[in-house]
Amino acid sequence: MPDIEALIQRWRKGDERSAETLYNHFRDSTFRLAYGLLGDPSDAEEAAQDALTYALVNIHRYDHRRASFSTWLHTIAVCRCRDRYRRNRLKKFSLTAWIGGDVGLPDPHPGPEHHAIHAETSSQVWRAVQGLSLPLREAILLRYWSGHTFREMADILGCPVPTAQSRVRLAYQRLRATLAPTELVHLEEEESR
Amino acid sequence: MNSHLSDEELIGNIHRTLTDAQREAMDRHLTACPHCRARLADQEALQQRIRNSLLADLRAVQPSPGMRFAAIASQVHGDKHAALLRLSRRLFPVAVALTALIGLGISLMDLPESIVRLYANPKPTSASSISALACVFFAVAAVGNYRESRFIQLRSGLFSGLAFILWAGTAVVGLQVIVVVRDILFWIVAYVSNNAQIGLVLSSWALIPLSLVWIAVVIGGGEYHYKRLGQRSSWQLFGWTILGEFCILVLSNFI
Repeated sequence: MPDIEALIQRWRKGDERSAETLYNHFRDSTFRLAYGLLGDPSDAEEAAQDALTYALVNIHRYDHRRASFSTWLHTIAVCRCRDRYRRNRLKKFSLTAWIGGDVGLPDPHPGPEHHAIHAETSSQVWRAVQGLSLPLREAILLRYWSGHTFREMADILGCPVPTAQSRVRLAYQRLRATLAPTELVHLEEEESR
Repeated sequence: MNSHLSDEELIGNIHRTLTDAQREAMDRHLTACPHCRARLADQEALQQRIRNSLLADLRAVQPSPGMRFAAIASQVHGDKHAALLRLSRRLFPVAVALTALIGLGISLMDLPESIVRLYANPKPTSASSISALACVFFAVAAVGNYRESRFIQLRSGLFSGLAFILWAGTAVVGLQVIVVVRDILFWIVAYVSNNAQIGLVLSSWALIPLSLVWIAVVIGGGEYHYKRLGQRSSWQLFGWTILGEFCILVLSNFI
């Protein structure tokens, strides 16, 4: 585990190797957080890459007294994912489909990477999480995946602490309701294997 | 013994969202209630299974080989030394807001006249276009900062300066909004009662509560922005304030 604060100090002084170490240390976790939020690997990569670039370029703006580096980075990542999510929603909107026509065709030739990743991540829980609204998905991923405290979550999400708490509770209740008892038994069996 | 714990309480317990007092009360209940203990254990196991499954799903995916530091190295290195560009980006909203404030200051000289104008010629007047334009400028300055992170260091003090200019600017525009609201009120009352004199009296009295609201908003807003200096919620409130003022100013032109 590298000393993050020391790396930040060295990068501020211009040591590029420290920037690369920081990037490599946070790359996977940032990508996976974005993937959980967006549900698409290429979108997640772009959002994570944007967030990491912004954080490294604007390292002078980071203040360790206000938050840890990962909290700051995740704030940026969540912002980037929100932007991308909104843009995607507009892109996916099809006027003809809305009127009633059968347009808005899916990609007829999804690449092998798509198949591999889709197969890997098509568990019941994953689909249930992807079915949550974005604010609830943000809350559950920041809590379960990133392990942030509610205080940190409130900072990242830009909401009061009780709102962050209620979003996690609500997300959990929705997941519980979506995962029917039979699916939960299946999940238990998978885990015991 | 008390009734059993609700699902909500059990979920609050496993997510650590209960207060100390709630937790103590729950612990006391759980000690004496095997039924709720079993339900709590079920909920904990379920939450753990959901968490584990989610973690396994996320750990199973990897970024593509193209996602590496080399892909952003030139950008990171290049931008780091573009201090001048960064400074100009920060200065831009301040310059825009300052220009608008100066414009407003000039247009403020017209304010006493616009207050008494209604009594000399009892018909509503359209709001100053400088104020509406200033609102647009303020909006540009506030929205430009909305996307910034809450953890930005306030080293240069530019944020404090910008927040002060926006606060002062919205307060000045607020003065003109009072006059406009009074004129709109005059128009409505005069139109409904078909008597300009009643409209004149009522709208003049309305100046008192409107002024009190203005004072409360300026003081309350000032405190809000001071406590949230540089944060998104502050820029957001500026945005809404400016939008509200702009709408009222524009509305007067349609009457």
